[in-house]
Amino acid sequence: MNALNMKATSSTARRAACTALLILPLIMNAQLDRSKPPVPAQPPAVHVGEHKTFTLPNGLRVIVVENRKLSLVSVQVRFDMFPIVQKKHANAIELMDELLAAGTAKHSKADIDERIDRMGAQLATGPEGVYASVLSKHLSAMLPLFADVVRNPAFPEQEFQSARQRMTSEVKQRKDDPSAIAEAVGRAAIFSKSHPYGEIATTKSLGTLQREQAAACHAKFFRPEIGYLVFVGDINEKEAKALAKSHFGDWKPSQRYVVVHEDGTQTLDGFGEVRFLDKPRVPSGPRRVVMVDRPGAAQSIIRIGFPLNLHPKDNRALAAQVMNTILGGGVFNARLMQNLREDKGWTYGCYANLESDRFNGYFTASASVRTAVTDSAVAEMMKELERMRTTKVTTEELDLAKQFMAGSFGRNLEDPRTIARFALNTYLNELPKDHYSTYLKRLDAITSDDVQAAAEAFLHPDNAVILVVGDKNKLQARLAPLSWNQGQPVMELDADGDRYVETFEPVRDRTAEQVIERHLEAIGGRAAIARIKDMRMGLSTEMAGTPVEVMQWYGPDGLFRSQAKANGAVIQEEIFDGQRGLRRNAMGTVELEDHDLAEVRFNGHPVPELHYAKEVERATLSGRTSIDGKPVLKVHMVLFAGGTVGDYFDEQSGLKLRRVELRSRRAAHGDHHGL
Amino acid sequence: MAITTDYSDYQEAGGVRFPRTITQIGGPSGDVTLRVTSIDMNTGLKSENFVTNLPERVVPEHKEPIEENPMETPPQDE
Repeated sequence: MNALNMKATSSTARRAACTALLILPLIMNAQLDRSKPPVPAQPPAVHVGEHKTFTLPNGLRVIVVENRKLSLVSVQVRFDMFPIVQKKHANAIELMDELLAAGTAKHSKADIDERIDRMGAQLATGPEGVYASVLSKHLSAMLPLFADVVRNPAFPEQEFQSARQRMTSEVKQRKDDPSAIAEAVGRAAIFSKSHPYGEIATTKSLGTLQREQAAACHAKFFRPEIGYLVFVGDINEKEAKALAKSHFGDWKPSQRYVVVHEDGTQTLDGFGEVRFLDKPRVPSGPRRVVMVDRPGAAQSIIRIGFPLNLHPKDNRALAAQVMNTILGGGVFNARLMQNLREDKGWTYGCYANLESDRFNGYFTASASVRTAVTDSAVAEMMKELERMRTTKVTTEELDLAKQFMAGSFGRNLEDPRTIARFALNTYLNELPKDHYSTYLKRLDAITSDDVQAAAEAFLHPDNAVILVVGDKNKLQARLAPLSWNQGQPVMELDADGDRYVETFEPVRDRTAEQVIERHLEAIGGRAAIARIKDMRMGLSTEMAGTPVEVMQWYGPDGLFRSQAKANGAVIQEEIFDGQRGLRRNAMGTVELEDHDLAEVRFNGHPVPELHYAKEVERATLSGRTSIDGKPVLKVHMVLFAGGTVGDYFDEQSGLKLRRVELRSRRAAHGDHHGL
Repeated sequence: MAITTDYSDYQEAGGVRFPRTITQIGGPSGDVTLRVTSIDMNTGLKSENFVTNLPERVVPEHKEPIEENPMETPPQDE
């Protein structure tokens, strides 16, 4: 995949059609019948269809793939664009794409649409070019319109307003679409938001976009000297040359310069500040977990990834693809699929995707799983990445992957669009001329040593970003051990890829103490609570499928005892005698120290809120937030014993709904006494 | 590490409302939902019911370490 597909955030049909030409092999993989393993196929003799090429005086390179069996001609213009950080104008290039076919100096949008329909043609635009196909008899009638769309888009104000509104509602919908979140936040987490591939359009960035920025992008990037004009189908070189000359020959090259200022910032006229990708991002930083919260979600989306410095012309790129196929590519026997689907039954599909890219490659492994198995699934996926690096693949795995790749390569060879794509890729990626004709030979020569070397070079589980879009409450603590990021094991991001911060409406008309007092009143009042001299509470639960009965005794003066029984036998006991406490279970008896002791002191009362003053060093009212849509007030408390506690009280009823306890990882250093 | 406990289904017993469903996530026992099955008050629990029988704490005698500055230690005779 290339920058074009990476950046595709809009889902318009026009865009999809244009992109399809370039991602054809991906689509074919997706349509494989997965009910049976692929049948081994003999690699066919390689003959990549011929193409003709010539360059117009203005620098536009024309590629012609003649195929008289077709009665159609497809025309594509593709520009050799380099990725830019669009900063506060994120998605200006996508906006330009939206507006290309929305009117020119000569034709209104309605006029363009009507003419295209009348010819039975297709017209699709993309952020890096324009695509059209038409019956060959209508080609000469369509080409002036095609050239007009490429060269003279007018970016009409009214169309701009509605395009921006469409894009804004797409961004808003992202918040309710876990897959869209995983895609956008996944890019941001892997590349960072200050990277062209990691930028995320937000309602805010779209709000500041003006039509001038779309026009500036067009002027900067849609220029003949960096363009390719590709004809495929019922057309020969001579006809193509005549059409190219008459519709694109008088197009003057006009470099739009980026101004570099004294402080190092760069601006593009009519656009504002831009930054170019100066070098590819490489895997870095410790393995870390990033979460986007979907409260109550039954499913989690997992996306493990890292950026790669892997150019398509890198001679290890093919071995890397073989490695990826064995790990989790199109074959059903792929390791991720075998492990997570066949063996564990956790998911319908678990896939790996390794992309070489002339600007910045990347790797991702993805799966959708039930919330309950999310952490286990991540652990298994990491294990498979690690195993790929440390153990050689079997001959069987290697042969199957090669046969699969040879098969998909061979199947597309006859398609003239494939020939055009190969030609375009060869120029854009500066590949050797025989890159595709030697493909099968090079594929056949790859050994298990090559695959392992590629795994070592291009799989970086130690630097991976593990993105989970799922229920934070259930998953945060379970994902933390999978992170090596000591300071912040699980970083929470919002749907825009920004760091999530719990936000509060300020509440100034009461104090933390008053909110706690209100809870005490709501449950019956201090007088009623004071009448409880002691209490016995029975509770039932289930652990690992076994019913567990718990009995808790609350004695006078904070004395506490609890006992958990399964199948009639005591499995755990805790006692606090007013001074010291112990815990007894199958592992033996330990004295409770530090936080554990503070915990029973804090909670060992029928109504712990009555005794907060003794344990809480400082309580502050954070303000108003919400739990499941209900307005709640949060009281933030710092404990004498260390650590913090957040209590959330229902604003309407006054009752406590939630407690979040944060334990610092370093246990407070106290006296330790063995038993 | 964060432990989240949710309290719901408050019901009265002996004049005081207690949450009857407690869900804890991220705690030492994993994810558990506890349901209150009984509450009995003022049954006369005594401190004898809460005996830990922990052994006396043996507090090791604290000795000031003797600081020896090697720079000031006179050279020892062989």
